[in-house]
Amino acid sequence: MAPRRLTFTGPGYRAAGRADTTLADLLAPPVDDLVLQGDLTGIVPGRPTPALAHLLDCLAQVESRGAALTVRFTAETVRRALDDGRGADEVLADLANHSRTHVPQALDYLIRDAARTHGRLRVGAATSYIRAEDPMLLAGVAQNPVFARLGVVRLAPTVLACQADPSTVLEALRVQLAPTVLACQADPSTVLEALRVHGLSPSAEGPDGQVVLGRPTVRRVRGDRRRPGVEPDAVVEVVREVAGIRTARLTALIPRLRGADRAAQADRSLQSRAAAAAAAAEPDDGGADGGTQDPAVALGTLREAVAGRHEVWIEIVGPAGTPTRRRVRPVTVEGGRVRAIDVERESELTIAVHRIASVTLIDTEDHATA
Amino acid sequence: MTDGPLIVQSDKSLLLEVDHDQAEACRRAIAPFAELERAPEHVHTYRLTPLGLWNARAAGHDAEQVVNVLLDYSRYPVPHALLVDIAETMSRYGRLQLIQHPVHGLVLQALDRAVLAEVLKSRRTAGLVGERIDAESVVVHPSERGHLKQVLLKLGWPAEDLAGYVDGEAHPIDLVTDGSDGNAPWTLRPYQQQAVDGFWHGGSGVVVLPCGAGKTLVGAGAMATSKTTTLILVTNTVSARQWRDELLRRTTLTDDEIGEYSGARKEVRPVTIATYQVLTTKRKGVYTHLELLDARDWGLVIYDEVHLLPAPIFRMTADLQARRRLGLTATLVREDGREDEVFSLIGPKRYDAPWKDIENQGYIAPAACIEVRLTLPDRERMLYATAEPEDKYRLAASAPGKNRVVEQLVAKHAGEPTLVIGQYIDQLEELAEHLGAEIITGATTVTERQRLYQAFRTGELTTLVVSKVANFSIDLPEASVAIQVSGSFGSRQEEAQRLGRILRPKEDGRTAHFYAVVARDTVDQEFAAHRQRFLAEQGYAYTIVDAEDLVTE
Repeated sequence: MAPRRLTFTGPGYRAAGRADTTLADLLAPPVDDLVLQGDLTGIVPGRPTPALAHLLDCLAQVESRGAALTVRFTAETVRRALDDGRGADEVLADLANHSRTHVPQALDYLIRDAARTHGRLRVGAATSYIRAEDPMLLAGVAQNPVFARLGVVRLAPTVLACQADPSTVLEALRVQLAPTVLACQADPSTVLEALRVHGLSPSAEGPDGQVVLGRPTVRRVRGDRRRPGVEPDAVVEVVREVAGIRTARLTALIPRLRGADRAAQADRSLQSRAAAAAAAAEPDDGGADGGTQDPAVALGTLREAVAGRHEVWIEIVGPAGTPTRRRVRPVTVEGGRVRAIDVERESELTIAVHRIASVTLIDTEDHATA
Repeated sequence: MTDGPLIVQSDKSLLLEVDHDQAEACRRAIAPFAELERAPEHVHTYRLTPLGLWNARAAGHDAEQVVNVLLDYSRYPVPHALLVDIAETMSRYGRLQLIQHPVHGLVLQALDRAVLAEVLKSRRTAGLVGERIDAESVVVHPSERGHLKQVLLKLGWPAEDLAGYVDGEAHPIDLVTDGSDGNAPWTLRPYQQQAVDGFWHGGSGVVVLPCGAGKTLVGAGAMATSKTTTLILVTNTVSARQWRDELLRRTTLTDDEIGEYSGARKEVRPVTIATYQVLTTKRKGVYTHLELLDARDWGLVIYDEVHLLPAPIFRMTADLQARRRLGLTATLVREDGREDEVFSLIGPKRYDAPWKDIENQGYIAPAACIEVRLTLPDRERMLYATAEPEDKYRLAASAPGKNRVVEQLVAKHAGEPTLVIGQYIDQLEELAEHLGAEIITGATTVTERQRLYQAFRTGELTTLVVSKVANFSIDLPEASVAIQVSGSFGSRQEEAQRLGRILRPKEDGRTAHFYAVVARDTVDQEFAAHRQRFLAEQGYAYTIVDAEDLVTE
């Protein structure tokens, strides 16, 4: 592994290479073997090597840390390793490789016993199933290439599972399909969890009947996001460039924003209704460019719409500051809130008045023709 | 960094590599202050606890010594915080002392005024202490000596009891070791002598020895040292009779000098053996037999099986602080976690020897522990799978298939004295019938029991089926095979007792066998795992075999 950089610049950056080796000199050398004991514990007399630490991580639980590492093997932890796709022989061979002594009989038995009971229950998801009294009939379905697209898997002589949608629900919540198959309405992860709580050791099954490994999500610190080969200086350069572009954009934006405010004030002194009408004429770039409407005008329009049961284009400023336009039919305006019905989405919404940027009446005739 | 055998973990556990050259020296060095937690084959785990450190202080070790030992033997640097913690914990012991003042009688004296002020301010010491004499001392009511010690321990300031003991009524007791009474000459084993000495010099305290290591003789040795009237508290009547027999055989005491105070007989003699049960019998809300404790001026009180002491006995013991107290036990582990009461009321641990050491010295028999896993037939598995949770253990533990396995095991060890131990009477009765063996349960009368034990001793009977009544203190000299078919939910204590049944040394030095027959994939197996862990932690090799493989062996 390349030496880790502490910072881009500064003395630490230059000393990092040395610190790395200095630290390694101070720490005791990592230990690659462990002592396995008959009481199902293992002890690494020192700091384990990454390989050993990984093995123990997925095979045992840590009992105490410190100068040494002590771990305990339980049926539960061994099951975890088996879930991870390891086999009993593989696990035992790994342990034997790292162990100073032979693997104790009790531990050997524990692992083999866990492997024996592991995966005797299989859980999978099937969208629907096909059942028949006559196994021959089902065999015909399973073999028929016409049904291949259904993703049919034969669970038992008398049951087939399909990955296609069932057209009707035929059975009750929990149906015994065959002596060896149960169907559940819960999703596989829930079923797996429930079975594990009861001390069973199931494994998940894919649509093809093969075991699916349930590896836990490994969260790790997000790595270096810089592309390889890019020198820190170059990065700084890019950052500066980006910052320059942003500044230029912002400076250009400020006069426009100020201009919009002035324009809005000027508008207010003119006839407000005219402005509203103008906005309605071109609904696509309604209130946003012309600034916000005078609240009194907007509320007036809304009340009018309520009385006339008209629909309006309403522009609402969301919590993120982005305006959205919706076509609604206002129902009431009171207490600083507007209740309205969105006809298209068949939903009712309540809008705080201060969120309303503009309201434009829609001509009913227009609507009818539209 | 040194090459020592010890690794000190930050969670206060100490790992000792037993195959290391210095391991033995290190073990001796840490034994006074660290409790052995488990002793499997390669690495033993010890733990530092406040009680252990105070035990060490009581035995005269100081923090510097403890820290030194850790630094000397540790392979890696010892966490500094841990050393500071050790020093601080140990310095708490003995800042308060109970002493006998020439003028004021029993006095609590402080070497640190602030500590005295702190404990006197606590509401828990109110009523236990009397008048303040000066800034450093306060009068203690003699009757509250035990309570006060208990409270002070709970407050974290354990007092050192220097007040001494009453001498008690003298009574000549000696060990008969020269064979003048017709028995073969014998002597106390070295560790028994060390235990007696350790106890006597410490004043009061607990001796921890494995089952079968001759705790009774340690008691007899202590009595011969004390030469005073003695009260012996034991768990049950059978145990009382065995103490009596052992004392008659090993000491100068005669039949007339030993009294039994039990449900059946109420004799008070210079040496009186009483059962816990009779002492804790209540009538109309009062303990009617407490006067026994004051019946004589006892010079020594012996508690057999301290880990089983019932709570009322603790309360009585609190009033007995002026008398020497000796606790005998195989384990300080109490399932109810009252180890601190044993420490404050009976005394600190005075002697401790791990099972394996005594086994290596040849004083207890080596034992092989074997778990036999029995696969239940499909019908029983179905029965088990659909049973109510509370019935599951019983169903699994008394699976009929076990009968055949036990039969095979008994046949395999034909001629060797064999005990079949179980929990459920009906299962045991069935087994006894199946094997054609005698059975001992709680319903068996004492005389019948003793007849059977005697027959077993002489070899007339080789197989005996016993229920849990035989868990404690039965003394079957030559049992060499124990087969347990069911137990009380994986109790460690029970396992220790049952194993103890077969650990007495065999004349031909043969290995004892300890079998557990377990139904596969049931709660029975889970409980067995609990017991397996205990045995492995005690250092016994543990193997698991399938019942199907038994025949082929």
